[in-house]
Amino acid sequence: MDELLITGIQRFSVHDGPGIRTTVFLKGCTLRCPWCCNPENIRGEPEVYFKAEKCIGCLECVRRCSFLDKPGDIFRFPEHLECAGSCPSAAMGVYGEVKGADDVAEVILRDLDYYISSGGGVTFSGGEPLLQAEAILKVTSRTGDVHTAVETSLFAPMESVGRLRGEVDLFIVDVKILDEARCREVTGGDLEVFRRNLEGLSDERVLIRFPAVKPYTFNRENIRALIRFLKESGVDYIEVLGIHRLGLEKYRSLNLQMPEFSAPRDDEIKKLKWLLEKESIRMNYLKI
Amino acid sequence: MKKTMLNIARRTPLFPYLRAYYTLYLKQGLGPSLKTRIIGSHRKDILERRVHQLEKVCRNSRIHFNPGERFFYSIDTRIHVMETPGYRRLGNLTPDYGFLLERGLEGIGDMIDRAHDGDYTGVLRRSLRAVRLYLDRCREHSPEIAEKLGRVPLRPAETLEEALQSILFMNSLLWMYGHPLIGLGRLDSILEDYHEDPEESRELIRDFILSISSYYEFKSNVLPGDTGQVIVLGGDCNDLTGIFLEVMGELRLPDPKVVLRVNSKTPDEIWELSYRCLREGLGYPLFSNDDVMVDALSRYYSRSDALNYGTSACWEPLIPGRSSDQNNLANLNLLEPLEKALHGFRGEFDELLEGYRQELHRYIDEVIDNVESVRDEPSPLLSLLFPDCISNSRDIALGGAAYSINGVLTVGMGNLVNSLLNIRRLCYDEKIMDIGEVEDVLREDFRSAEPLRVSLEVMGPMYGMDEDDVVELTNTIIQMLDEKLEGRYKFGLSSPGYITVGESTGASFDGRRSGDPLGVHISPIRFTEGMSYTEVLNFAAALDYRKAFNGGVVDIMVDRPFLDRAGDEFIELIRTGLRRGVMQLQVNVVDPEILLRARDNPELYPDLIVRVWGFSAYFRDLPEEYRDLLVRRALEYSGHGGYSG
Repeated sequence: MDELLITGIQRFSVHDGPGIRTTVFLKGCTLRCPWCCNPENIRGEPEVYFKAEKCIGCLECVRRCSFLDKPGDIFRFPEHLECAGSCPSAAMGVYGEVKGADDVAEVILRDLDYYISSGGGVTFSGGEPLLQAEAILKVTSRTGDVHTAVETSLFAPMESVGRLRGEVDLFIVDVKILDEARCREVTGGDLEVFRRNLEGLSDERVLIRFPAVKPYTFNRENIRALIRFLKESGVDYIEVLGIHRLGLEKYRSLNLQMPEFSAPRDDEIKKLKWLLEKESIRMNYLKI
Repeated sequence: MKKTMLNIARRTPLFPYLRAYYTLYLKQGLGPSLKTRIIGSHRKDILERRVHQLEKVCRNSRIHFNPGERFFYSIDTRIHVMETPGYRRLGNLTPDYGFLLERGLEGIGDMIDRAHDGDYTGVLRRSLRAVRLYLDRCREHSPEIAEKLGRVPLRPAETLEEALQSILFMNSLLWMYGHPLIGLGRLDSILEDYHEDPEESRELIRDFILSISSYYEFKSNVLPGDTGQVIVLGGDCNDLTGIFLEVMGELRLPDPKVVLRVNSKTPDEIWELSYRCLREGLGYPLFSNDDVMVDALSRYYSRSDALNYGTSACWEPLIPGRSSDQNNLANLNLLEPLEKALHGFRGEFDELLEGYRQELHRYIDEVIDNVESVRDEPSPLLSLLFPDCISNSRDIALGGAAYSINGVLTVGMGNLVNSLLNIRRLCYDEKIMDIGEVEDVLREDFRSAEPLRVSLEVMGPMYGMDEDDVVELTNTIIQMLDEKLEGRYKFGLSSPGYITVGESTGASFDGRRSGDPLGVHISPIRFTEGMSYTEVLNFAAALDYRKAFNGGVVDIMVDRPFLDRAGDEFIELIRTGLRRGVMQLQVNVVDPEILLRARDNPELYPDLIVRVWGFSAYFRDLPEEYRDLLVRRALEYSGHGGYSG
């Protein structure tokens, strides 16, 4: 468990918790949210990609691999990771690399000065980082006092949450769909797991985030349920994520269709703000 | 035939005039150049000739005054002081305006009288007389001017208004006398004693900036905006530091520009005001890190002078009013020696590095010989504003200044480092290519090796990443330069030549095609996916500036929409990067969408300002290749430091 399966380490990240942060993207997720903007982090193993716009048509890949007739064929041979990795222009490649906890910690520590001056730190995101809780602990044991956040939807084994309790400074929790049946239908998640895990975090610092997506999360019933949930949990501040469609290229690169969804209009967001304020809950809208 | 004609022409006494007109024609076009009056001189003795030219400028320049302006600032743009063949016109300097304000021209005259008598004191006296003659002409021109030039520049300044007027008067003469790229120096510290009422100072400084920003085209050197009018602020900040930044943020002019000296004591309010200027997209202030710079300068200058450093037209350090340093004498193209070293090379990687070192040293000798074949042209007018020239009774071009430590620039460091890293990886570590093939591939400009070229561009690790071996290799090259230049010439890591030198440089093994631009200063060649600002700043902070301090600028671009979401983090990023040891940093804040639209229709965005090498300019004025490079880089930097995924 000294290794992590990651798709990237993004330094100078400013949207995943306070201050200047380094975000580690872990690969593998328990949910299948249609609005996911990191589709490359859903499957828990390395997978090939092909970005047509980067292809220079040199056919190096076809020369290397006798199964391919053209670069786009790589999707028919998802196990040909090496062939994909041989592309000179990186038009073809692999999402997901296995990196040792030491190496990840070393990269995180390079920006220590920036965390200190801005009140930042490291954020483990994904995917669902709780699936690699043990490996995260290996990293944090080497990064010492660096402020650590995980971005999770809490649809994960209870023991993972238990392992990270007390070891992580901030749990950034996505609250998505609060109706059991709808939740299962849209994301494939069991809401009971989420509830139990959230209870387990009662003594931890938790920041609630709500991705505002029409029609899935941003609708009358769900907003009502959200407000009820926030009041019950005694939450007085949430971040609302302006969802974007920047993931489109990534869907294409995985030969996937990006599902249809849209972001709420500004006036709808205002209305949500007003509804929340009536319940004395502050909100910050993160528009990308 | 052409040569013969030229040789015949050379023998005629008119030749220098013809040449001068020709250069003017190239710069301004036919109409203006024909209306220009060339100030020559038939005197043989160079000093004699230069005083003579100054007298002519002071006697003949036309005087303009726009009623209603607070300051009198008149430059006759229709005179051109002829260059002396075989001499280099001094420019890119900052005179000692503080000295002028403290003594006035009369006080300077007294100082000349007290200096030990020699031929040169006579020259200085005549020059001062010429300046006073021009002053009298201005006063007689109209009562308004006479009123503005009440006590200054003859007497010491007593109010802020007088101080600013005094500076403007001498500054206008320096421009007319043909000195390019004249800096303004540390105005906040020079003017501090004259500052009383903040409101009044703000108004005065505003009008001063408006005056100094006029004659924009006339003052521009190579590209519009390249005027060298640097105002150095900070170091020890005072009330005026903030007032200058505030006023300039409001005026939103590309010129003059600001170099802000920062250190651990720089107040938050000054960072905040700088941020506001940057957010406007002005491209200044450029941040210069005192803690790194003063330390490096102490190698060549006394501690107290180092503490008082200013800069040349872009950012190369000098001591205002004390040094006649010509900091930009040549561009060392670091790729050139590599081409020679690779020629016919078969050996190990460290042998290649040693071969590079020898070729580099040979190349430096060549460039330096070339530089030293030209002498500096004397300037009695400049010498009047350099107190050491007066006390030494010697012209600034003949060693009169306290220091004359010249400098060169380097260009292509990033391309060189990436080339070497690629060679090491492909030919020695992975052994998938033979070192002999490298030369062939480059000679044919990657024509049959496009896949290789593309892979060279994207494979890491690269220049600008905080990886040990990248930093180490860069510092090794810096060490090689220092071995050869130490004690003779300063050298730095940034240069305005990234496009022009690139045009005449063959393909390089960083994946750059022949003729393409070289890397911009200390920035990554390409800010590729997965790179980050912190990484670039960490890399830059790890370079050996004690050796390479003649300018070393990290040039980053950032999206305005992103900045508006993460302004606080951005300020912290910059401050922390500088605290870690980045020497100099400039930031281009752009809106990529607007830039893209402006590239196709510049006239739609007449007020759009961008940072070019060490100056800010209107985007519409730039040649196409500069616009294209800016757009390309803006798009690379766009979206970095963004959002999950």
